[in-house]
This record gives sequence, C-alpha cells and structure tokens, in this order.
Amino acid sequence: MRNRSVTHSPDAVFRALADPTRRAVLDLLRHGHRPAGQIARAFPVSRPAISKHLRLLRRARLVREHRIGRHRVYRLDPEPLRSIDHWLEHYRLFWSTKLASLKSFLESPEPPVSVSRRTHSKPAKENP
Amino acid sequence: MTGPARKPITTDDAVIAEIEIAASPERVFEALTDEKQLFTWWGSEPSVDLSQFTMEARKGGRYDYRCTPKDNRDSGPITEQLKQNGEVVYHCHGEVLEIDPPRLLVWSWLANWHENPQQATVVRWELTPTRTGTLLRVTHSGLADEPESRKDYGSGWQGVLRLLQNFLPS
Repeated sequence: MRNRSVTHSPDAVFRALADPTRRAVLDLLRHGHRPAGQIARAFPVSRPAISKHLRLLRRARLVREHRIGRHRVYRLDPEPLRSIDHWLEHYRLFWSTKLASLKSFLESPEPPVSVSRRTHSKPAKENP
Repeated sequence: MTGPARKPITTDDAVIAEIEIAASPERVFEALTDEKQLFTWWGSEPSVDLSQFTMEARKGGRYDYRCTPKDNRDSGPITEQLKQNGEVVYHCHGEVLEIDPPRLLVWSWLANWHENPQQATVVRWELTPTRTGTLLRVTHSGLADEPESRKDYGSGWQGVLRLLQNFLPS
C-alpha cells in the first residue's frame, strides 16, 4: 500500500498524526483556514512549539500554507489521510459486505443458492 | 479466554462492524462454522468468485478460502504477489484460535493481499442474543501492524481512526 503514494510518505503522515496537539490542529482546521496566530492562541503551548507542529504537518502535506498580506494562513489538505485510509477502508467495506451477505443468507426464507427449497419451515440445515 | 460477548473492544487498530440478524445465535454460529454454509454466503459477493472455503470448526482447526476477481481490475503494486499460476487469486487462511458456541469465535487471518502475508491479524466474531435475534460484531484487529511503516505509531492509531471518521464520512 505504501508504494502507491508517491506524493507523500505514510511515515511522515503517521508521525504527524501521532501527536495529540497536531491532531487537534487538524481538527481546528477542519472548520476552515486559520492564520498561524489564531492557531497558536487556540493551544496552551508556545508559539515556537506551534510553528514546529505546523511545519511537521506541512511536511506531511496535511496542511498547506498561504500568505495573505503579512499573515501565514493554514488550511487542511485531507488527501494524505485518504491514501492511508485506503487500507482500512478496504476492510470496512469488506466486513460490512460480509455481514450483509450473512444477514440475507440467514434471513432469507429461500437462500440465494443452487439449493433452492420452497419451504418456510425450520431455517436450520438448509444447505447440503 | 471465554469472555462474554459484551466485553468491550479496546484495541486501537481494529475495524469493527456490527449487524443485527433475525436468527438465533445458535443459527448464526452455525453459519460461521459450517464450511458449506460459509461457502454459500461468503461467496455471494458479486465482484469475486469464491472457489473454495474449508473450515475445521474446532480450536486449533484451520480454515482456508480462495477467490478470484471477476473483472480484471488492477490490484496495484501487489498484483504480482497475488498471482498463483499466472492468475490473480485472493487467498486467506488461518487458525481457529477460540471457539465458544454460540457466543465467540476467533480466527487468525493471514491474507496474501497484505503487505506482509505472513503477519497474522485477528478476526473476532461475537454473538449477543437480542430480543429479535442476534447482534453480531466482527472485530478485525492487528491491522495497524500490517504495513511496516505503521509499527511505531501505535499510540497515535486511535486518534488516526477518529480523525479519519471525521474527515471521511461514509
């Protein structure tokens, strides 16, 4: 899976996400872009510390920086998350599909199989 | 380990899915352990052809299934890894780690589409009786260990999952 992402390294993304403050920064940016100063004020850590967090997030390409006048404005870029999420998404879809198949198998009076039996009696032992 | 089905799941690296089924836990358990029934419902997915599903439903027993994709879509970088005799085959196997009918069933899960096909993950089936049938929960854990690059970030994983839920509403 990691070979697939040529534009961003999963390592950098995971390193960036491993820190609760950085996750909180991303959460804040979910509501829209923010100037650096405003981000810094939202957290009880020093300005240089926030700058470092933002730098790591930028390196992981989870945020983008723009200049508006003399302000540095940050906005979220969820794209690297998508590439990482691909792996889990595969299984989320996989298991929900499997559960749905099992449900319809067990709840259907006539299992969608070659062994179709027109009976509504005991559902057990329907299969060969 | 024969904990009750309502035991909370605390793994950080799991995919959890649940469904309510209008059938008794005994009946659901049977569908999860009888290889003929497994073959029927597991193989009802339209995108793949299930060619086999074997299941030895006892502790320490083995299970094994293989399927082939119906369309020839590209499987990405792991395509070569999936090929058996030149054909793309999804192959998954493992062991019955725990079996406590009709409440709990645990499989190890080794899949050839994983970056490391020898790295076992764990699939846990928990059945809870409800007024109308069964609440079935499947928890697939160990997934964070799979890609090598994620090993060091266990503590961040839960947060990652939460973030992903926020960012990627299904």
